[in-house]
Amino acid sequence: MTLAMDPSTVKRGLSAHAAIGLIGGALLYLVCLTGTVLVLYEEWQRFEQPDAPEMSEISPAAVQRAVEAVIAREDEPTTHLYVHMPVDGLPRTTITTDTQALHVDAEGSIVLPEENAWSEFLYGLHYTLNLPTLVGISIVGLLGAMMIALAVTGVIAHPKIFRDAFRLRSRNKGGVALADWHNRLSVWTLPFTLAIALTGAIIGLATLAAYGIATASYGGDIEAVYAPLFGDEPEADQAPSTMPNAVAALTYMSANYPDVEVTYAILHDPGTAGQHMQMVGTHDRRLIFGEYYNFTADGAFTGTTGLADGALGQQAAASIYNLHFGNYGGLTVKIAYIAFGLALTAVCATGTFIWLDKRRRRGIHEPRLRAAWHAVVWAAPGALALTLLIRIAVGNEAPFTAIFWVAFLLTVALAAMRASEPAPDARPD
Amino acid sequence: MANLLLWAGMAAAALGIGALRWSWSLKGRSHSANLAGWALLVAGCVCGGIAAGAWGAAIVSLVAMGIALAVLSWAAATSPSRPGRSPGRRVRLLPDGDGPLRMGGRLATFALVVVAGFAASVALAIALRAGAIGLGWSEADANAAALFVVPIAWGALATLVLMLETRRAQFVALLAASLPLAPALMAGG
Repeated sequence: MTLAMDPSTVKRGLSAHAAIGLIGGALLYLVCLTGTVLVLYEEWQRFEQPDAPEMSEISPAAVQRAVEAVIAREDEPTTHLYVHMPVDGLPRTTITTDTQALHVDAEGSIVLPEENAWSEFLYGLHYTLNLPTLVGISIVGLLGAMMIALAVTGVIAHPKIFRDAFRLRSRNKGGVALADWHNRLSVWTLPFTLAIALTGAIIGLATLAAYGIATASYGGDIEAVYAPLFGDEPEADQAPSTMPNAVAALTYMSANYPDVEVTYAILHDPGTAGQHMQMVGTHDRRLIFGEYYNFTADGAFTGTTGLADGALGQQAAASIYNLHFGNYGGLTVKIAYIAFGLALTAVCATGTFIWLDKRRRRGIHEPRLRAAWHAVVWAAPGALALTLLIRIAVGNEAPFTAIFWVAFLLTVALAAMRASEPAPDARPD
Repeated sequence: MANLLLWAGMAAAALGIGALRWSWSLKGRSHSANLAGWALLVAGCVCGGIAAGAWGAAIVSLVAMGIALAVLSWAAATSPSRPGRSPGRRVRLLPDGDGPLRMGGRLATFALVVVAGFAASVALAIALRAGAIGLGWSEADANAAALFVVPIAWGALATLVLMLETRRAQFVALLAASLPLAPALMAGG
């Protein structure tokens, strides 16, 4: 297929493509790389703490015992308590409060604290570039939007991109192979790229976008923007009360929704008069991360939020997380996401090399820039591997964020400094 | 039945990739072969969608992309070694020129794409939400549409602004995207 576009449009498309690629540059590459590694988030957690108790299921009574044991260890009342139920990908029961995270065994006894600092560092690097949340997640959201623009301008800039989609001159020299790899991987991962970019940008920009919508339509109440989608949080009442009855809620779920797998039991304001519970249940062959099944503190079912069968907007909003992270079809889908993620990472890396090659063909030599980009491409996975090695050798307490960024930035700076500038009279090659 | 349809969708997607590979290898362009390839891909996604909704369509898409990458890997593995023709290749980028860096202009373009582009996208989202509510959409659908449209609009505006040749045209594009905000705000957001 050849798209009929005039040469001027093609040139402007290519220039826009290059400009956006350069704006995103290293950060885009970093987000793609870490996203690819993060597909195995659950597996990394198991790798980090192999001695944590694992089980295929846990009884409601054991969950109740564990909840009560954890709450008894809290110095201050927690606003939320999350029970991660054992699932195929992560067959562990872990309870997280505002201040701690603990693994429990199948009997509901506390065994040991959760230690997955490296996985959390990786998550933070992809999600926020380890920056303060609002700033970081918005920058990552911006990169997602720019990826959409890169996909569009990439297609505009290459009129024969579909016609040549299977033409890969991988052994040609002089930049032909590089350009072919860039273009072919781009075109065949285009649906994946658009899905990842769009869902990532929605997640990343949601806070800022919701702020704008809330200002215009909800008197500045950001939670009100999300309430029609994910449900609202009832008024808190901090007066003391008895423990919530998780047994009744979990028993109700297995009796009335046997095909739904409960992945989380969420206790809101446990031990207070305003407490209530939500069970998050996954549905087979759905993209939604789950449905919220709502319960009173004594375990009476009050209905679902509608993520599975409510308004289309609710279902779509609940689908973006799994579509982005690739956890909707077991290990097979994860492997596919890793393969396409690697392809996308390679597209980011080769894009800048192609731009540098074009400048060199015009006689503009930039050895420092080229060396710095080489360093970005290799130092990012290298620094990531270094942090993982340190996790294994030193343990959970190592400062992974500092280690990564120092190693990464230092390598890039050193590479740029060590590269020699061409002599003023150097001739273009 | 759903399983059968899902498998049929995946098979159609695989056949679609095969048909396109064959079609694009022909010396002359064959519209019918191209159409058959694309139609099979679309039919595969539709089958996946009917079998298991968005999940089914996503799975069929992954299969199609996986097969395409496998075919591409074969092309890479069997590609003959040839010298490059880099020095003589055209550089279709607009020339940078040897003139001044125009940092002011570049920063202005950056601000237009990033700051004004985002602001215009949010304005468009607010207007879209107001319009959707006016059309009787549920609040959930309207809010989801608004949140979804921000990155799409921003990506589209970034593309447009960077492809427009004059500053005036860039401003007009951004203003045009923001314009629907006014009636939306007047109508109460």
